[in-house]
Amino acid sequence: MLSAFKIAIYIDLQLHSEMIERDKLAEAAQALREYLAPVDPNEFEAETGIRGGDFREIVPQEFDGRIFAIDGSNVVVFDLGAVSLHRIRAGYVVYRGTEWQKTAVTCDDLFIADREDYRRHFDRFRRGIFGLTEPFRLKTEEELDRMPTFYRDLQEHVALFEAVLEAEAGDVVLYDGSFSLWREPYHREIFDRIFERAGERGVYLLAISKSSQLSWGRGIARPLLRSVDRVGCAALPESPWLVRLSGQRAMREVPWGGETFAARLHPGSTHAFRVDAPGRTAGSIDEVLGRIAFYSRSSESPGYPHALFRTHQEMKIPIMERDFTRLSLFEELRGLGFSEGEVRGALDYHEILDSIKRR
Amino acid sequence: MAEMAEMANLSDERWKENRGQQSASPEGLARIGQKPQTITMDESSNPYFRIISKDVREYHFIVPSEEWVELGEIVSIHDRRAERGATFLARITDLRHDSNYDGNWDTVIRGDGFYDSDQIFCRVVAEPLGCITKEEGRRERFRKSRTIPAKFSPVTRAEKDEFRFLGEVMGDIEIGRLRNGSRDVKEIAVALHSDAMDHHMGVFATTGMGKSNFMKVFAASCMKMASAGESKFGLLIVDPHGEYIFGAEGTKGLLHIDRYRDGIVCYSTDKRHQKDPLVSQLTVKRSEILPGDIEVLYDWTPAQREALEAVSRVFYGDGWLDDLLTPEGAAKMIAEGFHEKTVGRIGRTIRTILDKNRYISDLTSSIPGIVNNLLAGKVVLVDIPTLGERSELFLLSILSRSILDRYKMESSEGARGKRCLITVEEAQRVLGGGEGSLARFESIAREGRKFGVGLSAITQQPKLIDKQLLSQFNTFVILGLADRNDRTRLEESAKQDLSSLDVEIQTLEKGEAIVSTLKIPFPVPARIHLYEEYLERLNGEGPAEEREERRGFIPPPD
Repeated sequence: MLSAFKIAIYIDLQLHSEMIERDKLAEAAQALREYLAPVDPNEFEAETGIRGGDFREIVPQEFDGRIFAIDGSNVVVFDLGAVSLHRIRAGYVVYRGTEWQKTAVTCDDLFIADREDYRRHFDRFRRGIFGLTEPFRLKTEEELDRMPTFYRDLQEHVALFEAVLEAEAGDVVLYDGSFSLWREPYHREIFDRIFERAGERGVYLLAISKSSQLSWGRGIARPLLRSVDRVGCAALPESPWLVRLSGQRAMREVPWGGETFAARLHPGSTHAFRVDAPGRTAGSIDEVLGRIAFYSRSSESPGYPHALFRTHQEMKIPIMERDFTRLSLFEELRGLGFSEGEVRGALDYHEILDSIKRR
Repeated sequence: MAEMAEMANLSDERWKENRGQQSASPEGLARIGQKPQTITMDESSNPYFRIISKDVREYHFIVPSEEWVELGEIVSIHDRRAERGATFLARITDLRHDSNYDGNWDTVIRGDGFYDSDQIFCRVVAEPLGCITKEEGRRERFRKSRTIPAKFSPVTRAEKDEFRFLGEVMGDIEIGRLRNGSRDVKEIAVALHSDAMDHHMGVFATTGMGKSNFMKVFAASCMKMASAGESKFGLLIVDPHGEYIFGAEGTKGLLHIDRYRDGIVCYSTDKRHQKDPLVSQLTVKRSEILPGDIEVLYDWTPAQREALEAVSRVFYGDGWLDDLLTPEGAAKMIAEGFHEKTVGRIGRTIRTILDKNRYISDLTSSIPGIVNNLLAGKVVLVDIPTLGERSELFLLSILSRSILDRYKMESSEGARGKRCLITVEEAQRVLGGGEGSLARFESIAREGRKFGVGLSAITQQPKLIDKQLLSQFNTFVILGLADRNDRTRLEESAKQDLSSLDVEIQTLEKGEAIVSTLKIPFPVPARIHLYEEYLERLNGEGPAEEREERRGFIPPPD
């Protein structure tokens, strides 16, 4: 029997599906079938170089060290078009076994994304914490558009560094995201410092990515991770597994100084994840992933490292908090003599439109 | 690959050797004079057992999922805002699984179990009972609260010290111990007030929940007070099952209380029970029966009812019962215009009554003795195990009329003795309102208080008792009711708010009760004494009074 909730969604969908023709949806579904279709192992091996035999079983291992997990978030508080105000939060959580130990918020701040005046904000951390002397500068218009994201990334790296400094030998530090991708080259030197320091302290470092743009196939870009997952589950259906992606034909990325793997951390999981491991950790990847897999079995989020689940929840800035920040800011502006009309008039008109919700 | 293989073999110990490279100068955020905001699971950040919401009528706090918390438990909340501090008391009325996450994802069983007990927890809903403050001179005072505890005020299970004030507001008729959830607070006795008894008491429970046990405990406490000369009211129990006098099926009876047996007087229709020296034979004189006592027993046609009402006018004196049964008497009624069949029906009914109620006597009556003992504040047990339901109602009707008349007379003369409480088993039979009710009991419920006469209505179906009559009852002893309509009826009629106790009443176990009464500031959870244990305790309070065994001779009734 359909629940009232499902019925409501169904009715909602019925109403809105009038906006788009059914045959277009059918066409799109037909097209997506190509992407979601079962993988032919031979074709997959020929295209990617990955064989069923490349998959290795992960043996979950209990350990008495700590797991650190880093994440961050960013919400727009106030958008004036040319300049916008963002609330940025970053930090990490610490677990020992299944027990949460603490949450450290390394940044919970407001950031004004001003194309003309942003460098000092970056340099304060780049120079002050990582000792990078070259002034920070975004080179393209597209990069300037993504400035708040760069800033949040920087704050996540600060959190990562802080976690590495707190961690002890044998502890595992997890980073939510990837150590490669488009962040190059701005954060490259920062990562180098962090990797170096982690190595010195004997700390294992892993980046685990919830989403991946890696693809394979000819004619269409089939999601690599999803296909790897299917092949891996066929090869090792009863256990967690990992497979090395670095060095395979499928990996078209620029080398970033470490190894990239795909891993399914729990046989009952719905997803496999991309895992980036810097050199030293890559050398112990089976052992490190064994430790992580052991603590990826929580009921909250089975198959995903629980520490990353928690840090995602802790660092997320809820809508309510964003709204409260916005109201508080309006209050401050009123205190400075601005009328509400003046403030609203300065807002990007998207903000005005979005504030009117249609039922 | 060789390097990778080498790294794979690195043990943690080898990595530790490299730690000598650490620099002594500050690193990370410390280099720019900052440090992370840190939240840890310490005493100050522990989210459990702290008031987190909601309003003046409802408090919420959370506890770990594995914590054992029960409905009905009373918690204390320590608010340190006030100068001398204040302790709020609240009763748990609901428990819910809850989490800090949205959605229904945690309904799927997966993984090895929840890791974050601080995020997935039980939300406890509690109803405020009131607030204990220290008066000047260090005296504690309990009162209804007009505010809410400060956010994050710590919550603990209330202990005996927090209940001390209850000891001061309890009455003199002990019935059990305070119960906090499933735990007993042995130090605090639950006792009803004698003063409230003429404001009527209702005892409500489904079968097997301990009504008889409660009544025996209640009567035993009344016996104790009567024996000590401290009784403020007499208690009449008409027992149609014969279980109160000597017990039944392995239980003990009221006459097993040797220590306070001078606090009880027994009348019985059972010859075996009459062998006990404390038990007198029950008799009711014919002349004490009025037409109205018969009228209330049967369904009559309007014509028959009219004829019955005319009896007092047609026949003079106490002999109407016998007169009506003679041919002359019947002829007199027919001469008054009543149909022969109508008169015949009344005559046959009277013969049936006389036949079935063998305690009806030409010469003697227990009624004056019963009323006198009630006025003296004693427990009067009328044991009628061999009689049917109609006979029981007939007897109750005569007794209650006699009692009310006597108390009215005493009141008018300004010489009233002790008050009186009349116990009515299966009270829905006589307090249902409408056609099925007995007007006599209704009038006691409505106006008995004026003359010091109260009702103790025992029923397992309070929903069948007239709402307005029930609202006259100021003491409720609720021992568990499964039927929602029964509970709703009580909630509508109680003097204290019972609506939040609905689930608790539903889940009461045998012997557990909610007691709502005047002078005790909120409905109190109680565990009623087990009669046999209470009896042992009472008998242990001093030497038993001497008891002779009756041999053959049965003394005449009062």
